[in-house]
Amino acid sequence: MTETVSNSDRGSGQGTGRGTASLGFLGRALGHRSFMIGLLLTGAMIISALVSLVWTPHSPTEIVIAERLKLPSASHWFGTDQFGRDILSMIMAGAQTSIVVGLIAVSLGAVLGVSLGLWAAARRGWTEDVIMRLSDLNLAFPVILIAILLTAGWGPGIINAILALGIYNISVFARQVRGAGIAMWEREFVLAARAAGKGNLAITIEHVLPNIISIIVVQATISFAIAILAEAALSYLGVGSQPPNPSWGRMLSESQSYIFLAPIIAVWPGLAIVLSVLGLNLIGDGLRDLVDPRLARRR
Amino acid sequence: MSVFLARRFLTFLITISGASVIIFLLLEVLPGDPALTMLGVDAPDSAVAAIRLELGLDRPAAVRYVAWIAGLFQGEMGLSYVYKVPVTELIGQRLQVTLPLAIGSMAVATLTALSLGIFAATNHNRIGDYGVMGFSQLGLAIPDFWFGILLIILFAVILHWLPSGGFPGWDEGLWRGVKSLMLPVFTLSLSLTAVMTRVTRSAVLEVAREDFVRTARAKGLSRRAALWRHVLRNALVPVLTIGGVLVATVLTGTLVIENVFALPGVGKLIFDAISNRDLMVVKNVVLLFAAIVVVVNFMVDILYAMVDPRIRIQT
Repeated sequence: MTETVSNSDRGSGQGTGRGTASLGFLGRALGHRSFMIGLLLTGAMIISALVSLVWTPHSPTEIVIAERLKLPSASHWFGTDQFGRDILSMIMAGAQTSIVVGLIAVSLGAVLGVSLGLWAAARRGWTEDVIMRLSDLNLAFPVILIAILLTAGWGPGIINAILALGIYNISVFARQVRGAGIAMWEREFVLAARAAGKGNLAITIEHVLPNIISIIVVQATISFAIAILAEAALSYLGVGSQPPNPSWGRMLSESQSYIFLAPIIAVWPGLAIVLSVLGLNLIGDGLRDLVDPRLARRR
Repeated sequence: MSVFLARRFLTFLITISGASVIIFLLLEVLPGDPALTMLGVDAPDSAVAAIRLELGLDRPAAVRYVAWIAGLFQGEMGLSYVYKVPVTELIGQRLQVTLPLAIGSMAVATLTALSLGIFAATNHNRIGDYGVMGFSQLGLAIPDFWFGILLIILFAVILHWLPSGGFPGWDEGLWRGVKSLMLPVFTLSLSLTAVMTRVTRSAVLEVAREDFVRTARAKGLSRRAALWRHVLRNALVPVLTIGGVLVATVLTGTLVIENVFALPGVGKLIFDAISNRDLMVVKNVVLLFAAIVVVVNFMVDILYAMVDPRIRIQT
């Protein structure tokens, strides 16, 4: 586990040292090949989503039957689907859905999970027991089961996908943060802060949280990748994003009916998912190596 | 050990009971009147009244919950509203497809991952290792349903070797059944193989650095003999553990893959039930899946504690 020095642990003369450390991190990051590839892939996904807000080669929802199932050409780089919609434009707009679902779901899971994990680590005893048993209960429901329950009760929709992923992520973050937090609470600088009369909340915010933030960032990156995969799966199954909202998973589900006629249309959305998930996974792995070089040596 | 076992068993009971309460609340209480959930808000009053009477939905929620759980203890899950047959019968029929799919992909993944993981570890930091790690990185990023579609394009559309989907039933002959499950099994095993390969590789590397392996080598044991006699036996513990954890992945994977290949399994059953608003089926299948996840987690914890005594003391 990495120990980044928190503000309160740092003496006044250590500011320069931190500057050097940050520069070292940046330098190591630039030299970490797979981390940089991950950054490039994820950057491409984010940029295409942002660009699609103001511009796409064609309208991602416009139906042009005369143009249906066209192979890639100069006017339609990735070809067109069964309704004559431009696949490249749909993929660019679909990136928005993946990013929005991933961001909201992971933030929801991270905020609640990190708070619960920190609380469990600070209080221990029955508080920790209750939080961990709730987390056991949460883990009994993989994302798809939560989405199925929500859809059966309230009908399909993108909100269900976000909620299902968010709820599932609460226990993922809570468990990780609790474990790391407990280890922090046993460190000398926390004991010293305690002896100085600081309360649980102050110690958690000033000492525990800053020292485990790297673990949270790594987990958030990996959870984001998993969220993109899960959102695509839920949309593919018809319980996630609904038409006309473009989504990579639904594009794949629709393409399957034309698999004998135009198999190429099933290739593009899948590639978009793979490259995005690969990018985030490489960033996650890279960050883990960068914040804990011991792990990098072991892997 | 017995205190640990008792505590874990109590947690297991609380979790499974909590899961049943959550399922019941989310399906039959929070969305409002379950009769309206099933028939839609525009349904005529007479139809709503009839379904309430038929499924006993006119009783208070607490009574319905107790009746559901009491039924489960007697092996009854109620009647499917759409198919008009007992839900246990429906699940039993569908498991004939889902179980071979789940077990087959677990078996394929375990065999492939053990071979690849050991190969990568014994070729650490060489080209073979990079190749295997690259494959596993890709395996983690490829959505299994897309991999399934690609396999259909290759083996059904282009080569015409295997069917693109559907299941003829085991009565039509073992080979025809196996043939229609081949692509789904390979599809589902991809992400499992990727995860297990990584775990096997790092477990073998970790154990190979232990002192007892060095001692074995110092005593004159060859690299290969040390690997088979000492390293693998110890490296299998984390691999078994992750295998247990992956059961949840396999189960939810079958839900998706059965829809890719139009297989009449439990996964297809539950999504058809959602479309048909057959709450009885949804309720029981979700509980069955959640129960399997909880039982497997419980068994993994016990297994882990048997192997590593520190877990028993910490918990």
